[in-house]
Amino acid sequence: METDQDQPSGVSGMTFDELYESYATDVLRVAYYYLGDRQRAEDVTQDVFVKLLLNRPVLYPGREKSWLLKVTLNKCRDLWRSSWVRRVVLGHPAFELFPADDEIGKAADSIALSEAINRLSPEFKEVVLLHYYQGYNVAEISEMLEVAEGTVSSRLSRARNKLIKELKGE
Amino acid sequence: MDQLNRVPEVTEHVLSGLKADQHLKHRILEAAVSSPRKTAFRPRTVIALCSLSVLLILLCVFVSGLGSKSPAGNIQVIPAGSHRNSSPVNLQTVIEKASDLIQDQVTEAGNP
Repeated sequence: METDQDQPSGVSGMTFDELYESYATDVLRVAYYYLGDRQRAEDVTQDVFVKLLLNRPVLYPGREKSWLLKVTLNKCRDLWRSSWVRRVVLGHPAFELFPADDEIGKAADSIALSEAINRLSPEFKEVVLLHYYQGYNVAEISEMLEVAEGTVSSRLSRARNKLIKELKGE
Repeated sequence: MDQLNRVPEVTEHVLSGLKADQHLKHRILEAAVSSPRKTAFRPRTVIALCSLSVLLILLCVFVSGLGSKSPAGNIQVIPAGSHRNSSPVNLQTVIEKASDLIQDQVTEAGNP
């Protein structure tokens, strides 16, 4: 008997297994960068893929990842807003790093940048992650976040300035 | 800013141990199985719709029952050419009595 996970998702033709293998780690890492909490990042990844399985959205070939990341960012934003009180009372969660065993030595140089990105406010973090980490251009980010291209450009520029200040220790 | 262009590489360094593994995949599949589908048949919705229908039918029956008891519902059929007996007689009596009264008043006024 064919299960749901064997059936193609929407019109993209990719099965759940293929989508999971291709994009779940990206979804998990973006959620982790956003929330700074591994458990919550896994919960968000779970919610995103459960939504994919249950709703069977129309995913055009080549647009699967952007749909997954859009849903991921929406879920992260909701979680971020709902945990506002806890964040204020308990403080910002520490951004724990997960280098592979053979990467521990090399990771030292990269820690500052990762932590600086994690400390950005959500609106800046979203555009930095989509542009610099996932490689989307301004027009694509504008479509994913449903904001004007000018807003995306402005946020990217301000995020860059903030990161420069942060990394210089100002 | 050169460092930002290294974000994918940096992420690979610092988060390479963070991967969506088979355990998370099983968790997702279990959650999907236990979650109700959006398009699923929902007994609660059906019960609510049935109750609403019954309520509307009862309301219609009640309203139609009220209507039949109202005075407006007793329509008198008066065929064309038929005479209305009761009204003219009554009116005639009233007119006669009124004219008698007026006449009495006039007589009293004439003979103080």
